[in-house]
Amino acid sequence: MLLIVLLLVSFLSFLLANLLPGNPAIDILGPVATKAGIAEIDRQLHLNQPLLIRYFDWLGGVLRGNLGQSYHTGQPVSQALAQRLPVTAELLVLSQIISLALAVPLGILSALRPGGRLDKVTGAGSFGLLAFPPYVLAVLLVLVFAVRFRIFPATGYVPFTQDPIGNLRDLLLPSITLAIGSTAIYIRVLRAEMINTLQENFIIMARAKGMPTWHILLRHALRPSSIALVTVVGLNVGGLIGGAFLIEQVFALPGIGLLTLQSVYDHDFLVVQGVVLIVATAYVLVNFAVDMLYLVIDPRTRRVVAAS
Amino acid sequence: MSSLPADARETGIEALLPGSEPATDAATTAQRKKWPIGFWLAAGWLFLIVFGAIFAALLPLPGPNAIDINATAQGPTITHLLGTDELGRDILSRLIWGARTSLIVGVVSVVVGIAVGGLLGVTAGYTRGRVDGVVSLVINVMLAFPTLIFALAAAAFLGPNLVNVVGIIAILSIAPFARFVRGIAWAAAQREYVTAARMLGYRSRRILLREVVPNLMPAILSFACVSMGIAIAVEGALSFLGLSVRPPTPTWGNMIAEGGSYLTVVPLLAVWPALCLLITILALNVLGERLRRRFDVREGGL
Repeated sequence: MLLIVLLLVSFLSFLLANLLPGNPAIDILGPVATKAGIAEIDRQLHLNQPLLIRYFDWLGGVLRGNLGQSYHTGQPVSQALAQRLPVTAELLVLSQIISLALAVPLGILSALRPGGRLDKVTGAGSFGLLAFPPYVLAVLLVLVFAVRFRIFPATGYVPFTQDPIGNLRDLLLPSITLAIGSTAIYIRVLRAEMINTLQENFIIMARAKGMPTWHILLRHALRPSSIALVTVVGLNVGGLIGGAFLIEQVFALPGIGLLTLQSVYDHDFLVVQGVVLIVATAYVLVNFAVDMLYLVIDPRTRRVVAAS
Repeated sequence: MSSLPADARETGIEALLPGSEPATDAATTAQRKKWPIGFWLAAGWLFLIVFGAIFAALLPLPGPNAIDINATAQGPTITHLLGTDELGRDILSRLIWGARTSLIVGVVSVVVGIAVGGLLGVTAGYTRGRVDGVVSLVINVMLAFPTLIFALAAAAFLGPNLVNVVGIIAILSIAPFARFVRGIAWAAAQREYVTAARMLGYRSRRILLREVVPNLMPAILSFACVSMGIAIAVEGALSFLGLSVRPPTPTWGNMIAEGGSYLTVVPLLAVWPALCLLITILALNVLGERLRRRFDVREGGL
């Protein structure tokens, strides 16, 4: 099943870049394009061959780790991706750490007293924050923290290996920006799940045994409640990557978002194709990993899998 | 996608949307029949936006591209209620004209989403079996493509203009609608009224159109409000990146982008369109949430 989805994903990434109008030969040659010149380039890039053959050529290359070469810079696509991917990955991971560090305690505490003061405040806050598109948030946060108070730099990036502290300082504001939207989602999901779990008989049992509240919350209730949270984190990855692209643009972070935008403006479709493939594959794999995580979180699912 | 807990995944995708948590607090039942102040504020704002967008040309305001050379980058004044941008164009007028793009994108994407995605979802969820298998596979693959990346690649290759952007965002709204409607139709197919209709010997098409669809409508409308907000946010993102309607035609997204480069000089330039976008999306979310509570939609009882 996973393989079928991945194959379809690769075919769609290919179609996306190839069915759309625009001829790379004309882009490469510019205004001096002649019929013969275009034919020559088409031949060099194998663009004169049927779509399906080109797809299988490309797929064969992909399986050997060769995503083709950029039409513009001549750089191998896999190399360009390898340079840019760490920046985006760091941004995503940092944002998720921040997000979960905020959402898990807030979700648990809101569920403890539904309708209480904390629950009302976090509920209203997370509902409001859901309305913030990442680029709007980015611009507003830059305005407040970089322009007004000058706490964080507005743009810039140092690799972690060169200057770890500078790297974190550059990535902190972008990560917070990205984290806010997902925090709101996670709080709502965890709260709803926790409220359901806390009404179960085993919780009443634990209470009756006189266990401390924090022990019930963390050791008994959190685990069954986190299945939905883990699912949502997985599904949220797609949205997060989209958000990361916009945030990289605002903060001038050299990740795959900026690479994609540049390639999109340049009609450099092998690069776009590679990015779409990598991102969609990552999304599918993360969600596959989430399915596997169910096995860790809930031992009962192991029996279901074993039975089927 | 696998044989693992299907219901975890089912609740998962709906939980990504605002207004999808199960109504748990005791206060909910009491609030359900009332239309609170938040609803009226949201409805009022949306009415204002729609009114402004339709009658933009008739309002006593300078044109969106009219340049007042004596008043560039000004704060709010009597002649320019929200001030002017770096070229001396009236911000209020540009905001109102910008609302047009957002609304067209939002409305068209929701209509296409309901018509195509809703139909696919209802058929798949109700008939199940092989049809459902194929539709679900296609939906899952389509959902694996990050909306924004797909949208920006398509917009760049097709050419950034209103028709293309509306089309792309409308197509992208199909899969989420299909996913959502499939879930609630699946649950509805097990309800007593469907069994009753089957017992009476009605044909599937009649049961679907006369029994199932009307029952799902409130939930679909609530989802439509939220996804209209998402469509508007995506258009804003494309505009922000310069891949939607081209300047000088104002959109909220390109106004934020233009304002963004003058943040240190005239911060309000970016703040006004950002606020418009935020309040509109928030208003749509509030409306969706209210609809859901009003009709006590439990997301198909999941």
